[in-house]
Amino acid sequence: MIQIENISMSYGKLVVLSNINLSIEKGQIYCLLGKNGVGKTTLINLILDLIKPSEGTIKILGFKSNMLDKSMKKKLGAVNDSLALIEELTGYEFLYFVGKIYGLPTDTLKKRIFDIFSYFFEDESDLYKNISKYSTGMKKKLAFCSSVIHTPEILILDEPFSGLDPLVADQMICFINKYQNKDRVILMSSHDLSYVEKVATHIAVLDKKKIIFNSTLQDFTENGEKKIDSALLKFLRPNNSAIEKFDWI
Amino acid sequence: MILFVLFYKVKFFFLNVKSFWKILLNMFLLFIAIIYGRLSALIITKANEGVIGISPEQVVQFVMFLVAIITFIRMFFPSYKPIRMLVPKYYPVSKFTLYTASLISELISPFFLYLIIYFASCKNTSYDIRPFLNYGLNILFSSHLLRRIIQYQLDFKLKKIASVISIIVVIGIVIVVCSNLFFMNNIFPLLITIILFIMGFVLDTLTIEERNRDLVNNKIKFVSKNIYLKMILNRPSARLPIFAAIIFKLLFLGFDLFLFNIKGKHVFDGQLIYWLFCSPLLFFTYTFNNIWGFWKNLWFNLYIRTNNYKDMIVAGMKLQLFPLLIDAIMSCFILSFSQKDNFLPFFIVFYFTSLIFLFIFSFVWSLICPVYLKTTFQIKGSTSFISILVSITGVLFLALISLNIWFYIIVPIYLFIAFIAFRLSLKLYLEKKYSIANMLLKN
Repeated sequence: MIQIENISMSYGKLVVLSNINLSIEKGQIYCLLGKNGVGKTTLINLILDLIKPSEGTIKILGFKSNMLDKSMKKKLGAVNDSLALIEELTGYEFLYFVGKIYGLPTDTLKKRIFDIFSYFFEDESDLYKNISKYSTGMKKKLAFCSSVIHTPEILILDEPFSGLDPLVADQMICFINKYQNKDRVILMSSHDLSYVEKVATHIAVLDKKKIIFNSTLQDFTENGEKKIDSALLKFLRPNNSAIEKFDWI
Repeated sequence: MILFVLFYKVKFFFLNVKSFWKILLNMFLLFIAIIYGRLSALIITKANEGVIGISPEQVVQFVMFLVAIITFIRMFFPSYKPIRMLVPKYYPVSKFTLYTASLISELISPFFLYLIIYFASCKNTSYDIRPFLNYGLNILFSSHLLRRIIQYQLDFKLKKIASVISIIVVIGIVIVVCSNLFFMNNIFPLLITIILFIMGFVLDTLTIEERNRDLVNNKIKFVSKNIYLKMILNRPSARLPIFAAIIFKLLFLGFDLFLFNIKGKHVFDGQLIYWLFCSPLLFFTYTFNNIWGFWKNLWFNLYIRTNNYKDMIVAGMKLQLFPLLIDAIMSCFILSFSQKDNFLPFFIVFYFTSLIFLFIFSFVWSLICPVYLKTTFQIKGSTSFISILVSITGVLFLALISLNIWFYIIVPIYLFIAFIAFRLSLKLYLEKKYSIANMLLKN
């Protein structure tokens, strides 16, 4: 469903991604792991066609990502790092606006708004508050709601768990697991390994501009023999010895 | 600190005029200021000799009126220029020094230099020029101070009492100047300048903080059916320039109506520039020529969810609809009272052709030269310079239809250009969408 072929991305002389290849098929929940600034968000923005790759192509459902028309975009749901919430509106108005872009019938849309909102938000009156009054976590939840309200086949989430309390993160994991089926695909980036472990079927590790690991979660954890965090540290070696230099701490 | 600001501003001015063309332009403007000064001196002399049938006082008053208007219009036209905070308020500088220094930094500009040279070039007439210089300098400074006082309301959060007092003072000063009391004696202009200076200082001390432009008010609590109207009303960065454009236009047309009823003449009678203010130009040079800069998340949503510029144009149209509707009603209503017969067909053709032209091009400008907005009224402008230039030129050329009926031939040309621009924007979208995304993502 998503084919990333020989993608390279550079800003002037600064190379961010080099020759990335990745194929994500139906039924998979792919999770991008890697250090800060390694290019996870850049890769997601490339898939969302927010930036133009220096080289290579990205195909979504068989079409080039920059040529997707309205009907194809309907099959895509996304939360990128900017969240893209229209803060002048209330939560309800925003979800209604998004639903109408996708052409959902009013009754269906209203039902979905109330269902999903009451699942993620304790207080229903928040639905009628301006988004500008929302906390960071509430904004994150609303952005997630807006990405799934039209039940897309492909869901792309950039750091979906950051800024969420453990309870809501757990709710989101439940939602993602229920949402996932053999016809859908989810691609996400995250640093929250304990949550990743609960949802991911596949792992891709980005480091030094390349994908250095790309396989199933079982392979990553060596059939569960390793914990996910220690499995990751096998690929991304931390520079812990440097701490010895700090004699002034 | 004041001396440092003086030195810095002068140094900056000379550093800025490095290129030959800039030096030439400054020399030219200097020359123009002297020529106009000599010309005014000649007119005053002739008026004093009784050759041209008006008194020298009337000439002086007319010149002062023009100086005041130009100084004042600089604030709004072609785009709004905010008050610049010289240094943040928490710096260990006395409030008075800070206020004086920021005022001086504004006054040391080429605009004031040319006007002062203009006034100085008016001497050597048989008429006693001292009152002229006195009025001139005072009207120059007082109109700048008045402009600042109004801008305090727009650019800063003030204590309520300060807002009320400043509004009363502004109304009072306008009444005094308009009723010719200003020209009663030589002390009065200086007194007004001092009052405005003190008023400005009081407002400066009563400033709570600079307005946070990104703060969205929650004034409309109900679930609005017109979410596009809400996107304007709840976004101060867009609401303020749109309101400023409505108020500015209302004031201009109101004054024009008043002048027409009293003297039978318009503000810029017989000049094409008059029609700039009658078209919806200000809304575009203030806001709509950079529609995705003002509503970046609307763009993001439509981009991620549709990737279709037609949908974005439709959304933009819904955003522009309400302010432009108010403008059309306001303009048509006021102008119908201040124009001669057969005005309505001309106005409808002129207004709606300019509207279509500006509207279609606003999506081209928003696409090819978007401007990132940090604040509502930023120094570099909230729309691109090229878009302002082309919009003004376009409306000015269209105003040619007021001169001769043959010029109506340009109307279909304008509509055709607008159609081509529409097609072009759809094509350009595929190429330029990344530059907008890049600009919006970076910030």
